[in-house]
Amino acid sequence: MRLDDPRLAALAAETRDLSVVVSFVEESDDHRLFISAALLEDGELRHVHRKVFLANYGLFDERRFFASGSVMRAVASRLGLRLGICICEDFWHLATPALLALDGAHLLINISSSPGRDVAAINEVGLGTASSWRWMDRTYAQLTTSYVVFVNRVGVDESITFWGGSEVVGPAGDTRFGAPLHDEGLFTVEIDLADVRRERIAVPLLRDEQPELLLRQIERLVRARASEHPVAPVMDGSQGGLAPPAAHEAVP
Amino acid sequence: MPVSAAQLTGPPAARPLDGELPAELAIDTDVARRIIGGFIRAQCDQAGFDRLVLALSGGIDSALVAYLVAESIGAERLLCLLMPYRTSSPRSRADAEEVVRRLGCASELVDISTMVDGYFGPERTDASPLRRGNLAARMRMAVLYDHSVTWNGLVVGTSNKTESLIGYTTLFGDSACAFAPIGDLYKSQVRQLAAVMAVPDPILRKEPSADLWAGQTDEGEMGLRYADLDRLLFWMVDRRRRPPELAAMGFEPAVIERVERLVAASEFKRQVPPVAKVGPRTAGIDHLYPRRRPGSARR
Repeated sequence: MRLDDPRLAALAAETRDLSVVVSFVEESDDHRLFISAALLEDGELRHVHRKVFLANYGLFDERRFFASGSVMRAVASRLGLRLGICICEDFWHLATPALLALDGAHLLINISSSPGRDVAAINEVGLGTASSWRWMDRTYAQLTTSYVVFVNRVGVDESITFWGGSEVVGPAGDTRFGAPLHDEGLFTVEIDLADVRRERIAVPLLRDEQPELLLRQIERLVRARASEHPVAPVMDGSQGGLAPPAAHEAVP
Repeated sequence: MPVSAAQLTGPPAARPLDGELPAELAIDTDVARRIIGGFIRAQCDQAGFDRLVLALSGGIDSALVAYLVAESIGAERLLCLLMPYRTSSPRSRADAEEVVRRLGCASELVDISTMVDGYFGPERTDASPLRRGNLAARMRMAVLYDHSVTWNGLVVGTSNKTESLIGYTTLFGDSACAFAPIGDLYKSQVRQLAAVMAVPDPILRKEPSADLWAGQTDEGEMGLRYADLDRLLFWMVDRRRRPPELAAMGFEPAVIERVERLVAASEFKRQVPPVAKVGPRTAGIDHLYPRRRPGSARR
């Protein structure tokens, strides 16, 4: 739908004294299709996040149908905090929690349609996908000293079962709430923003981040990647990363 | 060699229940049961059916599917068809009847002997076991789909992942179905789940067999034990190990090569037939929709 779709406006109109995140397929003015999530507050469409990292491997085929978003930013909410809204696969890329936290998010929200797979008995909670997400949610909460709210779909489409298991993780990586796996439900969880302050003063990871260093190194790596030459690099272990092969070296 | 009555009705081959499940194949049966149950209900909902029909052979695969269906939508919505051929073991039928009795579901007996023999005729007794087995599987499919109409239910598949991967199936025979609840479970995992769901003990313990002739067993025909085959397939397919890596893990190179060939050679059985593309949009190529499109349910 377009952002001026009356269905979205009708939903927004229901959000007096309320903040709501909804997702939908967005058609842009130039007719690209995005997987989007909107923040609706006080009757308005306040923010739209377009999924940046599309899943396109294994059982996923999103790039065939959708365009990638090109912005990753936090948004100020009427709740008196900044929200970092992202969608499913966005969380499988470290840049997402890192950028949202640097942009001042106190609470990261990931809305997901995560297909459950791997029922090996060795998995925590009996589902490989659930184990992965639980590790990520805790790790990101702890490393960004933020709340993480993970909201996952429940249901079955074709071969795929969406496993639920939504959860809220506190800024120290502590689980505040876990919804049951596979069961639909409406859940209320109270959180205290003072916990973010306490955690960030006690464990000032975000204070000590070095975005300038990150920027310099990323620029170096991007330049190097752009000049990559399709010749096998010498794997002597001294370079690593995305360093280009020594294409200029003379070959005797 | 003529088949004696003793061979048909002799004591069942028994296998131990323990020690058959390779550790890496152990599944969380609660989660698997939950996912498969939800899958069965969703397939019914999305197609607009509330009844299911399946072919119950007396073997572990179809027994497990019957139990899963009964648990997820209720035994009263399930019809089990028992379709023996004249050489089928009476024990298979007895085991199938025990499943029906325990579940309390509807059942019907359709002897396919006249259908199969009628086609081959008295002069065609030289037909190979392969032809006879395939025709029997396809006759069962035809009967199953006819009952899909009379019972007003979808046909549930009973194939498992092991036989699907090595192509130990009859195309448009036992592989024909509306959906496949245990199609992603290896035989060892089928056995694990069946044990948890209290499938009758004789079914859990007997040697898996297509029951096409007396004394036939899957493992005898394949020359491999399911436990070993399942482990190999798991590391080869699910864990993407290459032959040298598999050999380093202790699998015999000749077996690796043979199983790789079986998997490759049966790829066509796991896919829909290709369409010659000549039009702007072609089903399965660039006319892509969910199998059950929203709003397509018949009710």
